Amino acid sequence: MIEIVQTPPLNSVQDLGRYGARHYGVGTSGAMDDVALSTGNLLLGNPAGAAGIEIQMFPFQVKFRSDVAMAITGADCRAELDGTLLPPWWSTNARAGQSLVLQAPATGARSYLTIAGGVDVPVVLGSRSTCLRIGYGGHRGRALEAGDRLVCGPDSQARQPQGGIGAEPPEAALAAAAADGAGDETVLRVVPAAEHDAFPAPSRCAFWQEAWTVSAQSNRMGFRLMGTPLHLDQPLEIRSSGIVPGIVQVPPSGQPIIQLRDANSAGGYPKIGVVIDADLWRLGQARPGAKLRFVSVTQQQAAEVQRETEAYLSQVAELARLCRREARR
Amino acid sequence: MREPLSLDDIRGIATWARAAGLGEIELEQPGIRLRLVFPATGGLHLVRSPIAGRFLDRHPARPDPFARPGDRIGTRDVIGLIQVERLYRPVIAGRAGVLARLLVETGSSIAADTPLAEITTETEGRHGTRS
Repeated sequence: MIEIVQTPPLNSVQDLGRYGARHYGVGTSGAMDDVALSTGNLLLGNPAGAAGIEIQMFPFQVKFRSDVAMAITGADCRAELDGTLLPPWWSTNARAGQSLVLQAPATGARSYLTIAGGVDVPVVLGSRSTCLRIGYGGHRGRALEAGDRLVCGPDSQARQPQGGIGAEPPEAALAAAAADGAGDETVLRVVPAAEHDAFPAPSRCAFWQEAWTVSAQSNRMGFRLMGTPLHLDQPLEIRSSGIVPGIVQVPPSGQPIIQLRDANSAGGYPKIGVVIDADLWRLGQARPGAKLRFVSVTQQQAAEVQRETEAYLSQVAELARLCRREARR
Repeated sequence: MREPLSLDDIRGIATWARAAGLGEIELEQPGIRLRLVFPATGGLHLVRSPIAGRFLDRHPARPDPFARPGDRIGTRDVIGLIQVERLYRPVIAGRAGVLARLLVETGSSIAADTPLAEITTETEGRHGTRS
């Protein structure tokens, strides 16, 4: 069991999302950085989609009420276990009574605390994710508060090798980051969406060639971007249609919105593109003020990136499994 | 019947045990029990690689190395990483003291048991480490 000692608002229990109920209007929720949550889980021998804690506001402090193996992944929050600084992307054993303190990261936006056995909260429509916007799922349908106690799942007896094990961060392991532009620009791969061709050439040009700034009006629901406004020659009559995390909509203001994990399941604004699934984790680490650029890819290229990410995760899982087995001998 | 331990034997065992970095060793034979305790008088402790892989003196997500020569090191401190494909194992100091030097370049491939760093160990008196 772990106890939340200190937390600002908006930190929540998340897994990889709620699928299979979108046709009822239920959005997916789930970790903004799915690669970080999965990596933490796989280091511990959990299924990739076990529930963990998404921390997007700092400082955050928990106290372990029982001996557990745990991992810290995502943005480097300089986690300290009873005063000992842990490396980023690290898993280790914590004893009952020990405290873990996470500080605001210097780069990146979200850190993930995963626990052997997973965080055990009730499953709602197939997922343990919290939908903060509507208020269901996760721990009592809300963000975590000081004093909350979270129970770990049945495999919480698992232990990590002495000294712990870490994963190579995906920023270093995957080609995605290598494509990033100068400074703090994040280059995202985008497949053109249904209304892309309806935008006149200058707007399409601006979308693909200019840098977009993540505005302060950005959260788990979506990011509003700032840049050269994108306009249609004449308004489009389109019906509301299903949307997925990653969809880039253009409302009448001309400032695009990237819909993310807590987005509605449908929307009526024209869709100019969709950030590929395998790049959504990088949006999860973009903060207000960050600069984004979009490059066009085909569905086939998107599938290749997905395979690269899956290969990374399975390598982490396999090696971590070997390390844990060796440590038990 | 076995010969009793001679002074030369004991001297030999002491030399061997110290070289292996042992703090103390206990020997027992019928009628004799010998316990050798080595005062930590300060010396060099070699930190060896636990496994084969690629040595890193810093984590790729952090600008600073885990430890620089001259830094004070605790027994359980991580002083580097060994990367094997996508995974990192820690290189743990194993002895308290001051990092004298790293023996391999960051990024180099090393075999298991390769000496990675020298730590100048300190006298561990009753009142903690010498300052």
